[in-house]
Amino acid sequence: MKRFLTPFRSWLGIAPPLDLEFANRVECVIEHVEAGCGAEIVLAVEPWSGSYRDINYLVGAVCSFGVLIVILHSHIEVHPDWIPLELILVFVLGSALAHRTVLRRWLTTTSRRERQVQDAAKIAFLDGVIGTPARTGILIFWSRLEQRILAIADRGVERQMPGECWAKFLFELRQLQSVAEPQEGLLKAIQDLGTHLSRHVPIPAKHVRVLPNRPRGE
Amino acid sequence: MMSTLKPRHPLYLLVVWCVLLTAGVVEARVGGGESYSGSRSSSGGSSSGHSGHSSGDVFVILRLIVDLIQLHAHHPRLAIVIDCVLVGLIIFYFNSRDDQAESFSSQSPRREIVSDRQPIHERFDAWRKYDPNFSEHLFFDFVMGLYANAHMARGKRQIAAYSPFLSPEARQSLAKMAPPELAEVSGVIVGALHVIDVALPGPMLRVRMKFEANYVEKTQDGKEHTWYAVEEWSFSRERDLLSKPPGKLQSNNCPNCGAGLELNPNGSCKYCQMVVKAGSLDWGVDAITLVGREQRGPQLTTTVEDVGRDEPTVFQPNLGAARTRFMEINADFALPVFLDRVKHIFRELQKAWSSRQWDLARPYETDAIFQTHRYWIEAYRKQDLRNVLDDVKVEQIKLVRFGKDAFYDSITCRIFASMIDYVEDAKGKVVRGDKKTPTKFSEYWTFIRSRRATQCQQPNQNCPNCGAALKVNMAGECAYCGSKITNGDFDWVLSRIEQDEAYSG
Repeated sequence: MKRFLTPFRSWLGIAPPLDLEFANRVECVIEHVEAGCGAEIVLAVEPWSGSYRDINYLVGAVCSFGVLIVILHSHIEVHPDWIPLELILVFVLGSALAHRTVLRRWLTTTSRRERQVQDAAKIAFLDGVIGTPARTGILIFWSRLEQRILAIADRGVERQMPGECWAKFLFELRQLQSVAEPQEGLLKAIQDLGTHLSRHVPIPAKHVRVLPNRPRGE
Repeated sequence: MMSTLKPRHPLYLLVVWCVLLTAGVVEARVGGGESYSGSRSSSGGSSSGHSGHSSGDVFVILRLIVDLIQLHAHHPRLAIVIDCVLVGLIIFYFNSRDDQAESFSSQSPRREIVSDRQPIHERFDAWRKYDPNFSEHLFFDFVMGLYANAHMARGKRQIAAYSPFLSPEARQSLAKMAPPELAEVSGVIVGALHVIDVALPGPMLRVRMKFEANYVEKTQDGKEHTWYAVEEWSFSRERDLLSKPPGKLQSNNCPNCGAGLELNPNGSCKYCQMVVKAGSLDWGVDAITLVGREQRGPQLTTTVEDVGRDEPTVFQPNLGAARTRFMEINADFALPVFLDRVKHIFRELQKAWSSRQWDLARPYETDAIFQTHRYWIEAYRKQDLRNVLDDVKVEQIKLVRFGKDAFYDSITCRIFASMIDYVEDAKGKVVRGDKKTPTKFSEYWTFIRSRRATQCQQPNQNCPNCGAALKVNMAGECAYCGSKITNGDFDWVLSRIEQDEAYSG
């Protein structure tokens, strides 16, 4: 059943949830990286960023309208008393379909999705990553619907790490966005980042790690 | 964030029109087949003699609405088309109103926005989402170097050697500028470099630049002609590439392997054997347009009034946040030291300009702007003129922008100053300006420093690296320690000067 459902879900754009194995591997990689540097890395994975309720309603309305046209123009006899209920049902089903599939990506502009991902990443950063004692937190934010992976570094990392190294890391993340399953690439990018961090962000005296290594979100 | 359906929300309007549409049709079709019995309006003659009265206009509009509703019953297909058009117009109208709504923030001061001067920085910031290494300073240095190299290659008839950077069309355009009697092109100096257009990032990054330059063409009979040329060059590059770091982005090297640019007869690099198409691995020139060129130099005796001093200062929109961020990252940055450096550079440059000893300015300018200023110094020299600047006073310095890219921090200041500014000829006669009345003006000066640099501890008159007395060769290297001090590796250097009316933030 799973073998049948997976390509169907992939076609609809329903991303399967990240498995436990990936979460464990991320935790190991981050632990290994943090052991050699003074930075703290957090990976946050979200199914989507921001609200797409307007798109859900739009799809529901269009489906509902389509069904109404079919009822009116086809030879199917439908009692008038049932029509409102059917329309409401189709509206709900259409909205639910939009909510779970890639329709939200198809029906929104790139700039809107970018903005929503950036806003969500900033909130996630302020929410939990900014509180490190040496301001050496790094957030890697992966929003799966929008296929965007962002990274935000705190002041301590910006101060110590050369801009070129950070830019290279951002570039690697950008390249991963066009990959359907970027998990492996993401792990490699974190390891590469660790190489630069160990060189430029040393472990300070009395270093206390406050952020968990397990991925957040899904 | 919850999205609520406001009455003017497009979705609301669409639903309202759909309800209106279907209500009429449902009554006609479902539940027994009752036909719509609204009386059909007679065409013509119904509205007469109502011009000039507002009540008459309202009557006409109401009548039109009634007619439209009746149309749904009699000609539903036509009515649907009209409905779609009306809904589209309404949505467009409300969306365009939303776009015009001004936003206000108490954080940044409002400034007059000139609609045709979108900040170039914002466009380049959009590029950095794809290429985080992109640096405007490095890019401008690169294009100026490519311009000079391409013209010199034109003189030697070796344009094909730059095929990794010049498209076939660009090479053709350059070849057209090389008459058969041309033997050499030398002394290429770019006097001004303007960004005409920066395209939003697509599969390719595109930018158009305008060059004002001069060069010397030597013909085969030994005669030399100096040309002042204006050209437009279009550059492009694949979007998903990472820009090369300082020192690696050069037009004399193969974009693939970095070795010296030497090509085999088939156009492949002698070292890596790769045929590099312009724009595929690094910036390439798509097109070159010669706007004009003449042998007469720029007009240096015409008085140009400074009109921009009274214009409001253009500040970076998020200046406070950018400044805070800069101070947090550069904890050892001392503003008084920086302002001293700015005043020192300002005075030294005016001194060098007056005396036409432009090598005195070398320690304080990047390669690109040094070449630009050399163009003008040479122009004055050729016309036996001297632009004298005396009694230089810096009145005020405002910090307007903190920028950064992967390699450099930049600070832009608006400098308000006054000086005695006049041009005299070889006999000492004043041909422009006034020897007694100071001129007040302001300009936007951008300084850059490497992000690896720390607060320089050396006095401004000494080498920022070794501390020896400042003596710099034409390549910008200290005569004592050999370090290149003009690329911002050690201290702030001047990268750009923009006039008030040209600066857009």
